[in-house]
Amino acid sequence: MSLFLEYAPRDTPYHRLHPITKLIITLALVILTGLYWDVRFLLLILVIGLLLSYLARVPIKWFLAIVAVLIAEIPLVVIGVLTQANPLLFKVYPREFVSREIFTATLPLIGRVGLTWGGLLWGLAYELKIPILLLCFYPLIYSTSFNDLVNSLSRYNMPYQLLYVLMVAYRFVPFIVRETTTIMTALRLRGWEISSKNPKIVLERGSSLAYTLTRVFVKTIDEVNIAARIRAFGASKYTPVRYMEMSALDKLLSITSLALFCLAVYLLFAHNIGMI
Amino acid sequence: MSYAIEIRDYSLTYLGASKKALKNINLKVKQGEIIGIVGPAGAGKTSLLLSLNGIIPNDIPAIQEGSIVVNGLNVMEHDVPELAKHVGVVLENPDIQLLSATVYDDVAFGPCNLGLSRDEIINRVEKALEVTGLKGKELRNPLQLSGGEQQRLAIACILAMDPPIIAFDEPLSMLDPAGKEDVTRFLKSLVRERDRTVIITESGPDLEYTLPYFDRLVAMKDGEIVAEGYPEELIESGVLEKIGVGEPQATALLRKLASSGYSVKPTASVESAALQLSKLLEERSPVDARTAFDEGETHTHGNVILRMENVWHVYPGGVEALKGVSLEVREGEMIGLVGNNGSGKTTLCMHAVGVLKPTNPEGRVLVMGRDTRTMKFREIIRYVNYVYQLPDHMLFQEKVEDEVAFGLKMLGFAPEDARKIVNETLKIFDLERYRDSYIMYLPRTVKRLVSLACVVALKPRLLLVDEPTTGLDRGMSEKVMSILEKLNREEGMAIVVVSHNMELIAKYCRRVIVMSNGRILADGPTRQVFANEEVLSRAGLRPPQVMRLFKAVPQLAGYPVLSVEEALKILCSRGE
Repeated sequence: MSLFLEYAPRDTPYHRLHPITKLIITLALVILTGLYWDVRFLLLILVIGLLLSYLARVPIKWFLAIVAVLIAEIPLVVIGVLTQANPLLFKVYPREFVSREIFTATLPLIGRVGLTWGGLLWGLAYELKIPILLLCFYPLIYSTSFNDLVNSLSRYNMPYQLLYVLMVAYRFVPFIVRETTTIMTALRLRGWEISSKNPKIVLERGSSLAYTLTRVFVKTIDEVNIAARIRAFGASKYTPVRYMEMSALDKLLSITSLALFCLAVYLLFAHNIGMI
Repeated sequence: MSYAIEIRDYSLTYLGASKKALKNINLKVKQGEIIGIVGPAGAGKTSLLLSLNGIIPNDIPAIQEGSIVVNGLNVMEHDVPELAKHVGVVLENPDIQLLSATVYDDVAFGPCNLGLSRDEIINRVEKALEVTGLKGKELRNPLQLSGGEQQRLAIACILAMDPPIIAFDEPLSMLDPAGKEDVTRFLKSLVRERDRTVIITESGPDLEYTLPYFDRLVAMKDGEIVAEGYPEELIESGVLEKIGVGEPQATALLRKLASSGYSVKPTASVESAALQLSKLLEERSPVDARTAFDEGETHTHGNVILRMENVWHVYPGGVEALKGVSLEVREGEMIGLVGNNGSGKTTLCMHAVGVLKPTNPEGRVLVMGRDTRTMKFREIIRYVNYVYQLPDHMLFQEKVEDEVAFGLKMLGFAPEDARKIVNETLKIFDLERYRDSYIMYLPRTVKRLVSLACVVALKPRLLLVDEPTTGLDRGMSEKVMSILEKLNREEGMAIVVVSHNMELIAKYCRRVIVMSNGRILADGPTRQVFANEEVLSRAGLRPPQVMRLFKAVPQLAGYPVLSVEEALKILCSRGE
């Protein structure tokens, strides 16, 4: 059983693809997720992400994190939605439409706030972006070992400093997930609860978690760094232990993904397709 | 003569530190020698090891004086990756050294960085896996291996790089007894090959495992080498005891007998100690063991604090961590919970504090008679609490005083009451002088005390402590256990110590629970459980060395002693 955000050696159609092909597909989806603001296009990427996750047989429990992110984002998105009223930011929808109010309310201390169609569209896109970004990485992380990725990238003369950053990220993320769970349990054992009606208390209690996590983050980076250097990382050019050749399917998928990505970027910038 | 390692007048001061971590170290190590560096926590053992491969000062900034030449290279003129070809270092905690997603890839990672041919890399990986007994586990995730396997993997990773010098930093300290045996067996084969120079550091608790393999022993304290020589010489001189490392139980027993006028010589070998005792006892008559044993184990205890009834726990993914566990813990009990890694000890503790709930509907965990399923978490932790193995997981504040007060504040204690409890707790743990110290800069030993103090301040009726002595030297381990015993005796706090240190469990706990594979194999008075070799071996455990020593002496085989003190009573009273 693999841990959250950790590779698992399995024999799935997605596992069998070349790491570079998977990297191209992932980066294309990630960049497009960052660029698109039209919910329909983001939903299309969501469907592709889910399909790839299915092909890689990503464990169902990983999707709980996406649900958690969707929920955690809500307060931030609500604030953004209520303050996102500048019609000049919208390129596709008519300014009269995006400025049209759906409802208004007067809040104590803050004054009048309103929800516009533009704010709603922006909010929906914003709400979807981070979970989709996470989803796009799932199939790659679950189906590609760090060493296969490094082996493949080093064949294309990727500088070791960049490989190093990748390595730290790969090792670091699952470790931090485990550490966070442990630290939160340890906090609860001392009576800590993050939930409170008083935002000052929430902030104060959150800082205990943040302080400990920061300390553990820094320590972990140090330890991973030392562990890698003890193993002579950077002493010579990295020699891949396995040569993975790209199959015809890998080449086809890589070229198709790149072509579609270029087309999508062209349509986005030249014709605002994917913008709101 | 050329040396594998030549250290001359080497001193080291960490950046920002006011005093030297290493002082004027002079050490020469011959090719193929097996050197043991022993010293209490803070003696400078790890600093010395990390200086050999350039981690200090390249990654941990420090000011160095003197010189270190390793395999003909001046360490100060080369970077870590270059030195890694000559000196392999296996760090204390195997968990953090494993970088890849599979065992095979992890072992291959080092050789891949050395500019070797692909065939050579594959050869080296295959050989390292073979030697360390990891063949067949190539596709396993390193993080899901047992502690012993992880340590062997960390060793395989270094072996595959084929450095002529390998340094092990406390290779056994994080392992359960089965893991210790496992790694010791491997070290034995490494030593037999005799084609490498090996350095092993040790702070005391595992000396009985490592001592037989050393050609030479270097004793360190406060950053200095205080003695150096053949192991038997140093043992005889009593220097290990003097520097606070302590001695294996067999050695300590013979030393005490010798100082009482008996004709024996301290030794590290159980076989030699058994022979000496056997000879000593040839003409003496046995005594009634009951006169020697403290029968405190028959004490009755107070009310039930924790009761588990047929508790099963299955993790998502199907791993059965607990399989029908039932037990009771009463007020005033001091219990040792032992078992190999993965036996379910931590899962059991997590149930006791309500972090986990039984996955079978009929399974129940009752705290003060109430089912944890119906209790709020904040209620449970007032009665039962848990101290993690690694203090870093449970230190959330900057200063010691704030840390001890943290839980009290969270639970809504009035500031005056909280202050009073904090003062009392700091006194119990002898932490008053650290009150305003920044936790981040405290040594590991003090952090361990702080982590205990901050939970004890909440005054739970039952305290579960996970590996309270891991990484501590003997002196500090005794101090921690004495404090726990005092809390148990004077405050009536029930204590469950989860530990791999059988000596400490035998000495301080009156009841022992043995777990294996999610089940309780034995639960009873310490002497009775430790005398049951069959059960212990099923759980991958072994009794304390002094008990094994007595078993090896025909005249003493019927006396299941738990500590050196008990053994002395038996031996000194014989024939009187």
